[in-house]
Amino acid sequence: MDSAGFIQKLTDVVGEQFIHTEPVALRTYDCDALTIYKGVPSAVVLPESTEEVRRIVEICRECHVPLIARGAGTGLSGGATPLPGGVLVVFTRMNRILEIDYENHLARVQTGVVNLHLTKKTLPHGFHYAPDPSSQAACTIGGNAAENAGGAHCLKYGMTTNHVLEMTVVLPSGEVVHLGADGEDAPGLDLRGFFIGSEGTFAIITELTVRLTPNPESVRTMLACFSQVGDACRTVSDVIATGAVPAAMELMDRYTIEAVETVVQAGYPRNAEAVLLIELDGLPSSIKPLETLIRDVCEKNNCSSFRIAQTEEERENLWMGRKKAFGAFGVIAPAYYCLDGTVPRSKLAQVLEEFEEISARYGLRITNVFHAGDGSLHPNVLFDDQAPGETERVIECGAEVLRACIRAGGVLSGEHGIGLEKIREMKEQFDEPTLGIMERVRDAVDQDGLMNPGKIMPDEEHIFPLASGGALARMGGGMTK
Amino acid sequence: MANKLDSFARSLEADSGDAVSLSDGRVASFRLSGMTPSVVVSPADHEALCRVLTRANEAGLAVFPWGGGTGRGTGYAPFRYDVALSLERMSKAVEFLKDDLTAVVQAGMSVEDLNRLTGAEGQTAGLDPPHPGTSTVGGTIIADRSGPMRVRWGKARDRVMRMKVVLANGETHTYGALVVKNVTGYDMNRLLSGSWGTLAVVTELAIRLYKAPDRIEARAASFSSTDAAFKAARALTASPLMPVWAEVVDAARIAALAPECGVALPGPVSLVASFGDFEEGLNDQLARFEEILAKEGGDDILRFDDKQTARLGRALADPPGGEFSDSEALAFRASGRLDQLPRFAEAARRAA
Repeated sequence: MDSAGFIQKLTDVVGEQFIHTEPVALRTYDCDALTIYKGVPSAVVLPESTEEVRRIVEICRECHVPLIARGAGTGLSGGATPLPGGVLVVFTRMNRILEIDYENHLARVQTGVVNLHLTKKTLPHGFHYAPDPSSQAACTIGGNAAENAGGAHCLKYGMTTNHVLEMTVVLPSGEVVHLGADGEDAPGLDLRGFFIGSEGTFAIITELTVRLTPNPESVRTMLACFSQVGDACRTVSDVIATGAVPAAMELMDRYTIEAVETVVQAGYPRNAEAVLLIELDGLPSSIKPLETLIRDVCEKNNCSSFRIAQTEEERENLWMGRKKAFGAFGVIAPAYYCLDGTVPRSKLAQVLEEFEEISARYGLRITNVFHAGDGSLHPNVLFDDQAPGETERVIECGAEVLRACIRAGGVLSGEHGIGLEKIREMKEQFDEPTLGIMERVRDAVDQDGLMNPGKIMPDEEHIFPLASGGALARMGGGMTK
Repeated sequence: MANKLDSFARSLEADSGDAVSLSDGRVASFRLSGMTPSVVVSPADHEALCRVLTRANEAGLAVFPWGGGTGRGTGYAPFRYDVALSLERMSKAVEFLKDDLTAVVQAGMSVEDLNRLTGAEGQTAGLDPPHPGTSTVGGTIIADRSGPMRVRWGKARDRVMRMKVVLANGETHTYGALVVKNVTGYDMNRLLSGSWGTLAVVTELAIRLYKAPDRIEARAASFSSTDAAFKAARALTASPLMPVWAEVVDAARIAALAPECGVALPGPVSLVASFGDFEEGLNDQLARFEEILAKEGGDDILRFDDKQTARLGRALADPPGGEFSDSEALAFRASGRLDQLPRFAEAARRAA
């Protein structure tokens, strides 16, 4: 089939209005929030149902054209960046909430439903959707499942995989299958769990049944300030060691505080080396003793101040600083590269020291703002993306940061995924046999390499071009977790 | 077959010596749906287990990994069963990182031993499969066998941080890391948890732990019907309370429980739930649960202290009838949307 015939077939499925093939339109889809690599697809299609997705997969299969699924394109590892010439399936139109079952605490949604929309819809009924990546106002529930997204509150509530009960997916064969069940014990292999986080390399998710979480009865948000980063890190490990499970525990370093205070005035003291934003939720009677416990741990670790938000406004302000942190880096650098290596919580202080050493060696500033309670780091390398050769140097610096995480017993990614970004480092994380079995399992699901090729696994065959002058994340551009 | 087995045994003796024990005298205790293996093999460590699988693979023998054998009644009868691969000699703790709330243990450790290890530091793995003295940590994860405490701590498979496994060809793989959040590569741990040993043999696991509640106490009330008890259970799950376990128990089970654990639940149908917390939170949760019970029409509200609650929780985790065996008893385990459970319970009763 020639190219025109192929495009015509796709057009027959979705209608002329919902297929883009003009170069200008295609370029707007050439990457996700990791903007350094670009790939221009041959077509962008916007299906409205599982059946349309099935037919698109069948056509692509016949013509040996790879498929790439895209929710909102907020991912930070290049998972939704199209292989040049592939067909990008965009889920903007599959944004319907199909069923909300408050009795059983479930919702059934189409893949393109925006994460926060489900929470907004269910909040007045006493429920919310717990996974809360920072991009939740834009990112989709299907995209979250493809990446197994996290968020600030997964310390207590778990990752996306803990909240998805069932998924409808279209396999590379064109078959539509249901993985998981709407009850707890689906028989057989946990293919649901195995497909979640497979970054679109197994199948395309079209519908999901997710768990709704009852809203906590009360929330207490506190801010602890430290004059040593090490003290803040030790506070985190000590809080974890007490067994208290805060809903969230976020650490921000001096550079982050400086940027945040310049932009939004969240009330973080500018002279602090680190602040910890700690949130407890649950029954007032259950969290009251934890409040005392946490304050004691902070004081034992020399916190310079400790306060609890007394009003909803004060609480929102404290969170505002955390949520605007990435955007605020714009006041101190033109661009930044956000990594998400994760380490055992007792190793936080040690790896942050190593980051400082790497930062000095490269002459690049590294800021830290991260989900400390999970050991889920977000080191950000700040740089000027217009300076020649700088981007390449930042990538090398980022790789060093990830190596430090691996050396500390940690991993390349805690929540952003491997995508395109970290495929080279996969060989440092896993030995040959382990990578070999992952590859064999992937090939068993997708024999012809139709689904999002060139992602997750080291791959010599599919090369994505480095965009010239492309930033890893432009200010105000990339949404971040 | 005898030749294959002989060469398997000889080659193992040659390269493993004492690190692998072979026995044909014990095969009767490893029966599975009426089938008996030809030999029982128990390797002393990971390396020896790799050699067992390599040799069995060369000889073309069918191997059954065997933890405590408590899941032997589940699933179809095997169509071939040559070697029972027992993990009984691999039952040690490897590393207990209490500050990271992580325990690394060999797969053959019993759940009771894991509970003892973590309990000494006030921590819990939140695993309560049936027969914890016999069930192994590896078996519990590989069968994804959750107990009543799932409502508090999540499924067994959610506990896994890292797994060391051996494939049928003797190759060793390690999946995951000692971190609580990890999306590096495919989630092989989830593929394996619940695979019942059909994909690989797990030899070592890193288990995520939680702080054990200071004290756990239960309350129960009687209801006139299963429907009414389930309705009260749904009111509990819709509330902000956090039960450690919550069970609807029918008349037959109530009668069986009393001699098992010395605790009499109020009949004909009981809703019983336990809560664990610091004192203030615990008292508050218990009081509010009693309010729910009363509001939903529960009578004869009974209060159990921490010791009675522990015995009751243990007994509820075991299937009715006590001993597990390769026997004639038939047990169902089903799950679905909460509001459909009464219908299932009714259908099962009628079928029986």
